[in-house]
Amino acid sequence: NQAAAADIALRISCAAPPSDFLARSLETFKASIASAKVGVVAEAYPASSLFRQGTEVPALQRGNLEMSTMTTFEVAQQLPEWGLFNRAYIFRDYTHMRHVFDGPIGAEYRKAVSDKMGIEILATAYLGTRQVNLRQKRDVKTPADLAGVKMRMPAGPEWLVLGRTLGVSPVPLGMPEVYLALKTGTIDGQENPLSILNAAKLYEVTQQVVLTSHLVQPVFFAIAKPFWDKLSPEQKKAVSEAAVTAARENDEGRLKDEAEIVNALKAKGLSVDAIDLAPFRTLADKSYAGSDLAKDWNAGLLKRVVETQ
Amino acid sequence: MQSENAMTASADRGAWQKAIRRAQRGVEILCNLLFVIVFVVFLYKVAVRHTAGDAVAWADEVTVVLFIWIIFLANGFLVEDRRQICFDLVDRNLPPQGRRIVAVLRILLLGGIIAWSLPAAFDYILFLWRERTPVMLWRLDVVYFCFGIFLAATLVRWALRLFELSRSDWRNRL
Amino acid sequence: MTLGLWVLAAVFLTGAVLGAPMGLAMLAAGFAYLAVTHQDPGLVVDQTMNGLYNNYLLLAIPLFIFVANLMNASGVLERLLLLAQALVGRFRGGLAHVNVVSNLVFSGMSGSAVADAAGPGLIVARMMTRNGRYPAGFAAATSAVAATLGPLVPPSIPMIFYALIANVSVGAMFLAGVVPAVASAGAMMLAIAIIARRRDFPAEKPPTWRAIGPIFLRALPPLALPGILLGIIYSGIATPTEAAAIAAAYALVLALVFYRSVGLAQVYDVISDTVRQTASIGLIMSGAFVFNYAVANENVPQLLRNTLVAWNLPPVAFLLSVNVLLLLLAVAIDEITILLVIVPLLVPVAEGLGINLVHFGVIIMMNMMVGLALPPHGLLLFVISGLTGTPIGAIFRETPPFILTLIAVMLIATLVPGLVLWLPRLFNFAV
Ligand code: NA
Ligand code: NA
Repeated sequence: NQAAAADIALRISCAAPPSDFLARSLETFKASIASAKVGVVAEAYPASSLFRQGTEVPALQRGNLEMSTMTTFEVAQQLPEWGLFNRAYIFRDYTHMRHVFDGPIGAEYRKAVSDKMGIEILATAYLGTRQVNLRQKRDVKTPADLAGVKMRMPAGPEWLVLGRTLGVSPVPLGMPEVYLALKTGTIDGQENPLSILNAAKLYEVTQQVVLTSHLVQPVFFAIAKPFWDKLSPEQKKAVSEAAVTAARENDEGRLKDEAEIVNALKAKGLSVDAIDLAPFRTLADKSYAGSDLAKDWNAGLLKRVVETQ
Repeated sequence: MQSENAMTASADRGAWQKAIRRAQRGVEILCNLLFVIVFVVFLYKVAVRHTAGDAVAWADEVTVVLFIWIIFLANGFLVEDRRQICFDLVDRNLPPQGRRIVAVLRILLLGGIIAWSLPAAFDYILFLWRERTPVMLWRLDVVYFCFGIFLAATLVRWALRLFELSRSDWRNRL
Repeated sequence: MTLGLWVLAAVFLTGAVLGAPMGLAMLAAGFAYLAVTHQDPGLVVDQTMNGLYNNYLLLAIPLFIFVANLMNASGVLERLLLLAQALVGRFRGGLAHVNVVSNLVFSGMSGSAVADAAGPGLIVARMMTRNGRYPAGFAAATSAVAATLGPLVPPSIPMIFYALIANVSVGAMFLAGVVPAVASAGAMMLAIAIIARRRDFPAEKPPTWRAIGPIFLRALPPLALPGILLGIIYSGIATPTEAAAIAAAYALVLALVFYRSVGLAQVYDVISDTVRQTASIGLIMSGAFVFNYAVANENVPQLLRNTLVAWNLPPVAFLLSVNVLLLLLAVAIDEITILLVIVPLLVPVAEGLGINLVHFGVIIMMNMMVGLALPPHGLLLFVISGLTGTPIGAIFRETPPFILTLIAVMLIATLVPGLVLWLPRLFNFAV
């Protein structure tokens, strides 16, 4: 019991529901740290049960929380120069995203987050690729075909520009209300990674998925720097290895799931349409070039990301 | 001499209570106005979505912020403790002296804890300068400041209450 | 239990028993918890403000409270009662039936059954006892018990709270409450019919058909409100929160323009009351957010779940024990406090046991409400007793048949989830 009292508590907060791959990978994270027996006890809090979504970063910075699963949106709020990763069509696919964050750009990003925000990124995981999901089937070839579509999106300036890129009218709405809103027609569609669409059973109230793949989203295993600095080298090694393992497990699970969901949705009678993304990419270039957000971005970063193979 | 002092004191107190009442009236007008704005913004939002097809992204954020300010301004300045949701089975069945003691005890216990925590609460609010609301980009330290106002106002209210209960006419103030 | 949880509970209970506002007792308990666990007291601000800020759905609350207050102030309610009396007054116990039906439709908007009992419940109880038509105890008991039905029928603020806590659709919750509410009301009216016949309660002289026409026309607009509300929500014109604003606008037009029964000065007073009631509810919610943090941080939900899993309690046994627990708690604690403090602990356990959370929500709602009217300490009974001046003993004596009826309906709803979920499923909700 005395040994247990000396254990360091590591609480990790996450917005994903317990059934999601990210939350499940946190259980693995917990278990690997426990089996390393280095005097650290991890506890996972999925579904924002400890801190609300979007409030974890200040909690980390104030020493009220040890770890969270942080998104690029949360980083850009404090480091607008790195807001590029919230841009539609910045990553071609999962592999491209992986290569960017595993390469020199990722190293610079982690250094900036560490130096300026006081948060260490231990591992980068895959949150999914966002796709457009429509209540009524439409023939979608270009963003113009989505004109006037009331699309549920999170609130915020980044999402407004993203909505413009897709050609839709963004409507901010809480996730629990999305099902009813789709059913009744308050909204015409929503956009999310397929695993979220599937978990929320939105296939029951929609007819079509258009594979716009507009945002390939990374998510970070982030730890408060003051807490991190207090750990022994042995503890750091165990925690960081556990994070990398968990991230890998999340990625493998989610990639497999995304592929399977496409077939499952088709079996449920939805039409899942792969489309030519060129018109969407062109509009993205245009709408971001004219946007205030892009003025804050690090110069030359876009080019470097695009050139990453 | 003594009675003259008492008269001056009660006249002072009268003026003082009048000032408090006037301030309360001001807060009430402000809160009511904020409520009307919340209501109008909602209707505007529904109307615009159906006519112009625009989602009015700022509407949700503005209404939530106003709602929060209404809650804490009203709790700080308008709603008396006995109008709050209370468990009053004990209090109700006590004689006046007992109710006085109970009132003093609860103010000392809860007021003491809140006063002790007040600096840290303000420190946290000020710490939030780095966070902004998603749409309007209002600074969160400003948006959440109403909570600090509420805590401070509650303590002042309770201090005045202790003062009232310590005076000779406490029976009229229960 | 950890030291932190003991301190949390001790400060809250001491403050509450000493008669402090529950919300302030909870906030102070939260500060004390953070102090003894060496955490940042600023977490109280974090949890409170972010909790309120991120729950957009809560905005429906002040708007529904406004509708309820305006209906009371503008005399709209009396118009409805006149109609009801004209229609069913001719039957034995007619006014008691009116009491049930008016509560069913027009309560639940203020979020507090206690407030409803003070509004519609009080008006009907007064009508019932006028000229000694009904025994005062029977009238008061009918009002108290009928006030428990409102939250099951939309608009219902307790349902909105539950939807937030359990992360289920408000639309599904609204629909799920309808069948149990109608069944409870039907059972209560059956009980009234039997009692009325046995005790030979009075019947009104039926008005002429010519007189009914104008009464009906004058009552039609407010009568249409719940239907309009559901229509707005289920046709996709507006979200449940926006629908609350539309309902408020409708009530305002009725009172100011159609009936011209209130002036701007009275509307100002109605807003003042609404602001104060909203603030009270907001304060309790704030305390609840802080409690939720402490409880989650101490891993109480997981521990509870593990304990219950270890007991290997079947879902039905769990539901029945929840019934008993809530019936007992509701006797002493306001329903909003129960919803925000106790229910968040139960929801993850129910989810873990594979219980449908919409079904669970309806069961919780029914229990909490019946608990409020349960002798000897049910809050509603005391409220009605205080407002009507009826001795509490006289009310107690009349309550048992109603309570037993409601408990019977509740048990059926607990054991047969299909009855509760039938309507949401009919509307294709994934429940
Ligand atoms: Na209702
Ligand atoms: Na009610």
